[in-house]
Amino acid sequence: MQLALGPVQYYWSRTDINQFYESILSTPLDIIYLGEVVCGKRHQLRAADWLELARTLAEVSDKQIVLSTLTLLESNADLNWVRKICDNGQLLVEANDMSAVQLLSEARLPFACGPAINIYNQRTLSHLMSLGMVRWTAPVEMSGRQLGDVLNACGSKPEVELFAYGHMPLAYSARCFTVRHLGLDKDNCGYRCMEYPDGLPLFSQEDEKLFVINGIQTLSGEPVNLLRHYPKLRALGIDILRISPQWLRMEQVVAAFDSARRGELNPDLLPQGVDGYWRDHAGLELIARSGADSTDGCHT
Amino acid sequence: MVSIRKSIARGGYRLGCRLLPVLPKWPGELALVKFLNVQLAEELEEGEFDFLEGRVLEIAVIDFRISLRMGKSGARFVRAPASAITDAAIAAKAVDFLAIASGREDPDTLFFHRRLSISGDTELGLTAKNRLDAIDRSRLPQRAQRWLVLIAGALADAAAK
Amino acid sequence: MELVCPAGGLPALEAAIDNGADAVYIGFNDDTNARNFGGLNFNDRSALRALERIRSRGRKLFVAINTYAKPGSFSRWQAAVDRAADLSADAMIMADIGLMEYARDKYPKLSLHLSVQASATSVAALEFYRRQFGIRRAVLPRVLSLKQVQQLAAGSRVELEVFGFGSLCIMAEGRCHLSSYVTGESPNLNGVCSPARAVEWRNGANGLETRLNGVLIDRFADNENAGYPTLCKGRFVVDGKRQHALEEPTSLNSMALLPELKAAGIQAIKLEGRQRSPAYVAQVVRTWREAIDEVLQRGADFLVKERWRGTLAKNSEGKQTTLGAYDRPWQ
Repeated sequence: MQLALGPVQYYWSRTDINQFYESILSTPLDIIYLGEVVCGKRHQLRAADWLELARTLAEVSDKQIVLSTLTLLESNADLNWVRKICDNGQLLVEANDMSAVQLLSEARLPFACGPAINIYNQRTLSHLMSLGMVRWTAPVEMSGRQLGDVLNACGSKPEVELFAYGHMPLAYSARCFTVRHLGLDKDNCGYRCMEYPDGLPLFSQEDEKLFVINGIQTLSGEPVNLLRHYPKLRALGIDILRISPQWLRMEQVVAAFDSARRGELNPDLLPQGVDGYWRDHAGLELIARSGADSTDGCHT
Repeated sequence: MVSIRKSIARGGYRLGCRLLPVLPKWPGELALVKFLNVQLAEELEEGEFDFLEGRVLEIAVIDFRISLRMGKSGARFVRAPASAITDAAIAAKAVDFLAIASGREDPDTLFFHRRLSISGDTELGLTAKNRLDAIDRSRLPQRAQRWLVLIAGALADAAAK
Repeated sequence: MELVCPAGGLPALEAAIDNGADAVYIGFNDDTNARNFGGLNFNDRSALRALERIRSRGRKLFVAINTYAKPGSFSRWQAAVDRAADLSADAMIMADIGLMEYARDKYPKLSLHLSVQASATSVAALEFYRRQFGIRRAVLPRVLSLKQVQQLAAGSRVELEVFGFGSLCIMAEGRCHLSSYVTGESPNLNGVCSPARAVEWRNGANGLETRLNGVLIDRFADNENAGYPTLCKGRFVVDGKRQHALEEPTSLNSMALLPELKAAGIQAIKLEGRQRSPAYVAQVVRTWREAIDEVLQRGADFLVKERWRGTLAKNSEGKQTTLGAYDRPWQ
C-alpha cells in the first residue's frame, strides 16, 4: 500500500509550509497532496505559489505530487484559483468540489476526487470514472462495510484511497468560526487563523472535546486512526492510506503506518484516536482497546 | 357576544384548573381513546400508529395538572395500564394543546418558545406529533371542528388576559 | 418568481395550496429524502392523493429524492425515482450523481432540479450538472452572499432557486458531517440531522438540557428560547469561553432582499420546513405569497410589512431571523 500526505488544512506561514514540505521529503511517504483546500482568502501562498512549490517538489523528489483544489467555492475569485490549479499542465489534480471536476473533465484531464466529493455508491463512482477520475478518496463518514459494498459492485476500480489518520474535515461554512470566536468579522479577519496551527479545539459544556475549529472549516475533535485495521484495509483492496498533516509529531505518524506496511504492525505506536466511522458507528467513538475486530464493520 | 364567550371561557378555565386535578383521570383517558379510535379508524387500519404498539405516550396538561396516558394494542388505542412506564411525555398548557389541535399553532413554534416540552423517547414523541399533523382535519365532524376552533380561540383570548 | 413550499403530509400540502404555493415539494417516507423523520412524508397512496390535489388546483408537485444512495441499497433509491416518475411529478429534486444518471437515462423527459444537498456554488459546478444530466434548475446553498448569488445568476445557464425562509444550515449542505460524527447517522445517507432517537431533552438543576447521543449540546435557562437540537446551534466552550461557537438558534429570512433577487433573475423562492405542521405552512406560505405579489407589483419600492415580519419571527427557531450569508457582514 502507498502512503499519502493529504493537503494541509490549517493556515501556516509561508516559511512554515516550506520547512514542513522540506522535512517531508525525507519520510517514506509516496504521494504528497498540496494546495489551499479550506479558505480562498488565505494568501501566504496563492495559487501561483502553490504551483511553484509543487513543481519544485516534483523536481527534487520521486514522490508523486498532486495539487488539491478548494473545497467550498464562494466567489469568482475562488473559481479562478481552482482554474489556475486545474490548468497547471503537468501534475495530477485532486478535485474537492464539482467545479474542479467540471473543469478537469472538460479539459479531458485525469483527476482524483477528494473526500469532500459525495461519492457514496458504485454508479456515481463509475460515472465519474467515465469522465476521467483515476483516484478516489472515500468520504470520511463512509464505513468499511459500505466501502466494501461499493468496491464489490465495481467492474473496474479507480485507485482507492482512505483517510486513515488525522482530524477529519467534517463541515464547511460561509461563516468563519475563528473570527467569530475572536469577535471579528470575516471581511477584516486579519488572517488570525494563522495563530492556531492545529486549529481551535471546541469542547462541550462537560469538557468533551468535540470539534476543532479551523476558519470556515470544522474538523473532528479527535483524529481518526485506522492503524490497527491495517490488515483489513489491505484485504479490502485499498491502495493508498492518507495521513492528514498536523503541526506536531508528523514523522511519528508516518513511521507507524510505514512499519505496518513493512509487516510490523504495532497499534501501540499510535494509541489515540477514533475509528467509529470505519466500524459503522458514530464517528467519535474511540478506537477499541481490545475486541476491535469483533465489531469491525468490514466483512472481509 | 364575544365578551360573554370570553367570560365563560375564563370561568370554565378556572373551574377546570381547580376541579380536574382532583377528579379521577380514567374517564378522560377513556374518552380520549374512544374519540381517537373512532376518528382515526382508517389510519389505525393502515398501520400508521403502529409505532405506539406496546408503548406509553403521556399527554400532560400542566395547568390542569392532569396527564392522560395512552398506547395502542392491536388495532385500537388503549388507556395505558397504571403499572406501565411512560415512554414519552408531551407537556403543555391546555390552551396550547387546543391551539395545536385546532391548527392555530405549530408545535415546533410552541417548542421554540418553551410552551411545549417533550421528554423521554424523543423519537416516539416526534413521530406521534408528525402522525397527528398528517391527519386530515376536514374529516372530523363539522361540529367537532367548529368547537375545537372556538374553544381554542376563546382560551387563547382568555390566556392573553 | 415561483413560490416553492414544503409539505410533510397531506394537510400541509393543502395548507400550502390554499395559501398560494406555486409548487409544493414532498418526499417519500424513508431515507431517500433529507427529512427522514418518523411519521412524516408520503407513501404511494398519499403521494397519489397529493398529486390529485395539486393537479385539481393547477399547481406543481416536486419530489425530493435528495439523499445519497447507500452502496448496498441503490435499488431502493432507484425505485424512489421510478415512483416519482410514475406520479408524473413536475420535477425531481436530486443530489446523487449516480441516481441522476439513472433518472436521466430512464426518464429523459422528467425535469431534474439539483438539490441544495449537492452544494453547487459556482458556475462551473452548475455547468457540470447541466451538461451531465440536463438539470433545469438548481437550489443554491445557504452559504452564499447576495453578491455571490447575483454573480452566479449572471453566469448560470440553469434556473436558480434560493431559500426564502426557514431553519438555517450554516454549513454547506451535503457537506456537513457534524451530526453523523456524533450519532453515526448522516444527513447524506440517512436523510436526518440530529436523529430523534439520539435526542434527549431533560429538565435538570441547570435548566433544560439537550443531548445528542449523550453529548451535551446546550442548557437553556427558563426564559431562553430553544432551537432544534443540532450541533451547529449548540453552546460550547472554546478557549474557556462558553458561547454559540458556530451559530445561534435562528432562522433564515431573506424577504427584505426580494427586489434584488428578482432583479438578479432568481426564478424561485424556496421555503424550508417539511417537518413543520400545517399551521406553520399556512402562516408562512400566506406571508410569502403576499410579499412576492407585492414585489411583482411594486418592484424596487417593495417594503417588508411589519405584519409579515411578525409572523415569520413567531415561527422562527429561537424566535429570531437573520439574513444569513446573504448579508455580507454576517460572514
